[in-house]
Amino acid sequence: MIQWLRSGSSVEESLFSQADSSAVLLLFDPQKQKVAVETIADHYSSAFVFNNTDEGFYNLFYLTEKVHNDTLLIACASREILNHSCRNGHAKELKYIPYKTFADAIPMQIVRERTKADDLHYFVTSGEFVTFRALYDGKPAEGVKMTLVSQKGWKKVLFTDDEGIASFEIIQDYFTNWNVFDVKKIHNYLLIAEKTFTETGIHQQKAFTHIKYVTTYSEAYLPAKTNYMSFVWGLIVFFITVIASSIAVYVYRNRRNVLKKHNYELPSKY
Amino acid sequence: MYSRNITMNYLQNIKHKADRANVSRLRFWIQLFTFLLIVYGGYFFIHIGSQVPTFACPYNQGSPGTCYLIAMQHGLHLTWSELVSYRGLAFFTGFLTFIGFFIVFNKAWCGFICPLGTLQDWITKLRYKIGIRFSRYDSASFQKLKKIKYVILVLLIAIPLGMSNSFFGLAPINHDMQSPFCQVCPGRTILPLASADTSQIFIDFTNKTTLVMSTLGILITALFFVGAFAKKRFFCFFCPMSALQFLFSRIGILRLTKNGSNCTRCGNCNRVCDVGIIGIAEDITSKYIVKDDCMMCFKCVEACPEDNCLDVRVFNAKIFSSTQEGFFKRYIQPNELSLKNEKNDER
Repeated sequence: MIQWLRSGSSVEESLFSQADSSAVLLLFDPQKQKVAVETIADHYSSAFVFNNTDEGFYNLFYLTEKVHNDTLLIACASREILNHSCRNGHAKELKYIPYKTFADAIPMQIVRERTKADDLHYFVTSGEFVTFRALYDGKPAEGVKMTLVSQKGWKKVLFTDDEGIASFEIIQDYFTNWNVFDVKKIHNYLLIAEKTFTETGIHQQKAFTHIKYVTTYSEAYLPAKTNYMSFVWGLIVFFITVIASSIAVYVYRNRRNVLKKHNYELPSKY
Repeated sequence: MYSRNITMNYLQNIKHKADRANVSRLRFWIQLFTFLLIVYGGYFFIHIGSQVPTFACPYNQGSPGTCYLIAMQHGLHLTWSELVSYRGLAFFTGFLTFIGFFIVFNKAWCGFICPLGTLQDWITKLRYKIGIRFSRYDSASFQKLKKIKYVILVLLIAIPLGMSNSFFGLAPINHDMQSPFCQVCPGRTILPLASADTSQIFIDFTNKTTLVMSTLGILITALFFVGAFAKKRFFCFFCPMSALQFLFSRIGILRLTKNGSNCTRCGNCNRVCDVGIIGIAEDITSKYIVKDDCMMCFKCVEACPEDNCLDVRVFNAKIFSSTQEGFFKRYIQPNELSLKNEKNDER
């Protein structure tokens, strides 16, 4: 069972499901304080509503536990939700924002390694290498199967190294026709981390011999700037304008070679 | 009483020296220093805030602050209800910060600090060295063209508001128009070039709006260079920052005043004015002589041969005045840029 948390409410781009009644929903504000979440459910979907008053990343986790065959499946869907508006000022704009760990709240967590450019305006773009770290009990987890799935279904599987790290190159798997001016479209990817441990126990009166952790992390990305910004065309327009306007000034000056008198008189001493 | 007389004499001596000083030369060095500060200050961890009343462009990595025009456009991207909420209060406090910065130097922000103005002055010096003449607008064109900056200022305010609100029942403006002036401002494209950053020279094919705006931005950048080569301070004439500053220039601490009774209407002040303000020569009734295109470079004060006709004041205290002695010292000397040369250069 793969769970995917999405922010926003686009019907076009999202599948909806009802929240599991036994699921645990945890939300932490940028100061790692727990925040109350209201669940609004109907026949088709569940939405989680909360007040995001502080600037920074909110961390949302949706946890379910189920025994299937002889395996206890602990699934955790996670999402970092950025609260920032340029209209509120940019006091923290240039501040590097490290990821936060929640070992006490969730058993296995995926975090995105930050770069120096990771301020409140940072956005992953296609073509970039993004590094993820799998943490188990707050420590790097080796050998975790990491699967990156793009919105169109492209997949890439890697296993974490001894530091719990796996790096993926984010690809752009969607393209518009050349004559369609809507290329700067936000798409999503989903990262799934899976790890199984041999451990026996009983959960809700059902015995299990293995525990499988499945943690998902979803984030959005933009196409690379080179896909929709042309430096060459910028230079072409620049030089054509320089040449055309220079010729225009030259021609205008030659035609209008008359010095207009000022309407005040100069004293004789000048 | 005796010590007071000594102090007064001392101050009078300083004032006398100031009146004879070559302010243009001082201005050149101040412009060089402020250009380095505004364009590269960020690399030295200098931060002067987000409400700077000049083109401290955040698109330039080395900028130590943010031009108030971008803060204003961001700040006005509000619905009417937001405008009267804490967001409106944030905009208002930002505006007060801008005013706080502005009133210290008044429009001298343009004449002494603006990096785009400094670049245009340097282009003018290059043109003068090459020996190419420059142009001036005639009186009628001057009066018509000067209104353009107010139109730009109104659009700069109306478009962000129009993105969040509906005017006359029309649909809100496309969000790709956010920070509309920044999209066409030559500062965005030119100032990063000072750090060898060419990332702003582009045509944005994201959609039709960005295509039009980015093309317009490149066109205006090209016209900036050609215009600055053909006319002194070409862009300043259309600059919305100049228009915004003029609205509050009366409350500035730094002031430029005129004593009309001492004016002979010789026209020297107009002749040396880089922007070509005619009013400074013609107006003999107003005491407060800062016009909307004035950048407070004080070349007019330097070129005025009449004693105490034009004065630079801090509040009401005169710090630099036009004097016959200062005029002759500055202009009637060998190897100096004379008024005669200025006149011959002009077409």
